[in-house]
Amino acid sequence: MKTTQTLNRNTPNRRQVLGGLGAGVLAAPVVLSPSRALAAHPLVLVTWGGSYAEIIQSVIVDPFTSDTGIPMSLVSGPDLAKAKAQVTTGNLEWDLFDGSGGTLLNAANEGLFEELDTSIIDTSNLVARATPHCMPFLIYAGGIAYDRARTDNPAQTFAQLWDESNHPGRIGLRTRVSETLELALLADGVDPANLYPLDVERAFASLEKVKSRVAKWIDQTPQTISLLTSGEIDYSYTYNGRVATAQKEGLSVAFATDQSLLLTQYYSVLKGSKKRDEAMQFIEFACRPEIQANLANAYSSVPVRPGVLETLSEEVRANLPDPANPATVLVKEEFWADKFTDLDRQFKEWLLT
Amino acid sequence: MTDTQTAYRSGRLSRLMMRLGFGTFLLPLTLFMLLVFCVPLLGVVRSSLYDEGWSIEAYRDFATGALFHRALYNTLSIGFLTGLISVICGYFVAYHLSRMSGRKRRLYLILVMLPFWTSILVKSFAFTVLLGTNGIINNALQAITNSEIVIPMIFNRAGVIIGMAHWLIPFTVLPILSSLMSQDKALRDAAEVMGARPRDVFWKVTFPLSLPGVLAAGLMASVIGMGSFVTPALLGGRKDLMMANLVDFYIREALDWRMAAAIAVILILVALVILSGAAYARSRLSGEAST
Repeated sequence: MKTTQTLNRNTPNRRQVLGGLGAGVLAAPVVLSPSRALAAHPLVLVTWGGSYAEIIQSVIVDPFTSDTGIPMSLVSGPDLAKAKAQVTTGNLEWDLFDGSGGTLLNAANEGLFEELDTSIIDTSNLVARATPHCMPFLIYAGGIAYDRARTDNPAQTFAQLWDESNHPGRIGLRTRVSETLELALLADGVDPANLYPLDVERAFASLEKVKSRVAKWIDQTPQTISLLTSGEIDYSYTYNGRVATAQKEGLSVAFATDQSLLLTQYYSVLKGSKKRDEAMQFIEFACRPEIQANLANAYSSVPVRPGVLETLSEEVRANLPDPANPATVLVKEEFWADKFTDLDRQFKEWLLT
Repeated sequence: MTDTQTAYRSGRLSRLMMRLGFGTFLLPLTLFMLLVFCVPLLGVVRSSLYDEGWSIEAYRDFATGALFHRALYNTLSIGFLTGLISVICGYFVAYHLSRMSGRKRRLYLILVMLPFWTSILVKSFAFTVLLGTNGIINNALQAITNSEIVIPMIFNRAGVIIGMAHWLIPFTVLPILSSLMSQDKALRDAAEVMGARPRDVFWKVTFPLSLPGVLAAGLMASVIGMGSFVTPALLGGRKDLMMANLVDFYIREALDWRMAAAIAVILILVALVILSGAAYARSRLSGEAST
């Protein structure tokens, strides 16, 4: 029986251990960063990042703080799943949520948000429509974008986009069912005023006609511009704000304002927020006409209060779709609130076949 | 003859530590992992069954939905195909690395690890530049053949496989490399002495001995590949939906966490079946080899 054991050659000697510990201590700040200093518990708004967040900060948040003295903090990454996790555990990191679409209203149905305080916020007198839990504050347009330099006779409406003989080219659509069904129906010739409730079968039949021309069903929104500018697709369904940003960077992208879908961005207050009243005040502030005008000038968004659009300058209005244009459709999120999951599943199945 | 072991107390913990030997040092980490990893995993299984009442509705939905069958089929086929390609490419790299001197090998290993350090979003843009219809490869082909030839290598199955193999190759290089390096050089020398040509030395000595490592690497890469969803979303076409994409959809957009948990549990079970099947096959193979 072996009474002695040779030490494995590869165990570290003391010098190596001390060296490793020293390196670990030096590297620790990279891994363990100090927790965010919460200055007097500001009102937290979670929103999308990048240039959009900068605009929200300068147009709405900073004026709000100087007006009311309520400190605010902007974080990025409005993930509904995270919001649900926060609300169900009662451990709220966010107070205000910036979201849109059928998924947001679906989440509202699940009880994620507080009811809007109509004594503070005026939910009538809006271009879009408020729901009991979500207040619109920004309207943006989704529509056809194309490369001015490459495309001679660009399609300006969805029906023209479907017309391959006159407007050929590879198309990029989104992998989500909302907005895609609407534009398919409009391309098929449905009267915009009678779009809702959506005729789902007709929409899928219309999409079938163009399925072979869609080069990419785009999942991530940045690709809607990048694939267009890199020449992978000739027409892309994207948003006017993104096109405006690309134009400022010198790219030759253009947005067809003849026909577009108007989408609403909503503010909601997470259920159980300890700063509920301050959050409602913020929402009321964001929807004031002056703020809406500043927002439209900065982001090319459509104001939610009627009458503000007419006060904007000509060059800003050139990039904005007109809500009064009969070809333009305001997307009805209430339709999607309870149908989104099933229809999106149907849509994904249709994509796979 | 007396034991050279030092005197020990005879408590239960001490006896456990005696039995575990060196493994005692892993005990704190194991308990930590049990708490932080296994308990939430059980929570996922539970939430696939319980959502305001116990029911297996999510699993029934899975069994009857064409979407889920298609996604499962895609996951398995893309996973295995990508694992196979990663293993083949990784074998070349690992073989070359194993024949290098120590310092050079360490430097090249850093290069092998580079795909880990790049973000997938940035990589997908880069792949578009490389593989797209207006990309470098297609433009070069058009220049060489002087025609309008376009090979669709992106936004389809090929794009997914290329993107995922790029990410999985480091996972295969390391096990194959360690398997190759653990081979006794004397075996190759003996084969050479007995008159084998270099090609025979490889196919009859090196390759068969490295097979366990290759199998392990391939299965590991396949299982890791089955869990990816960002690469298929960015580089794939509409027919390349994988199960992890569905989990992502149900968690973030539909907020149907029970369905998401059910799909995740099924994915874990698939991986478990594959890995235990492989372990069983390997023990059978090595059992037969030793008799």
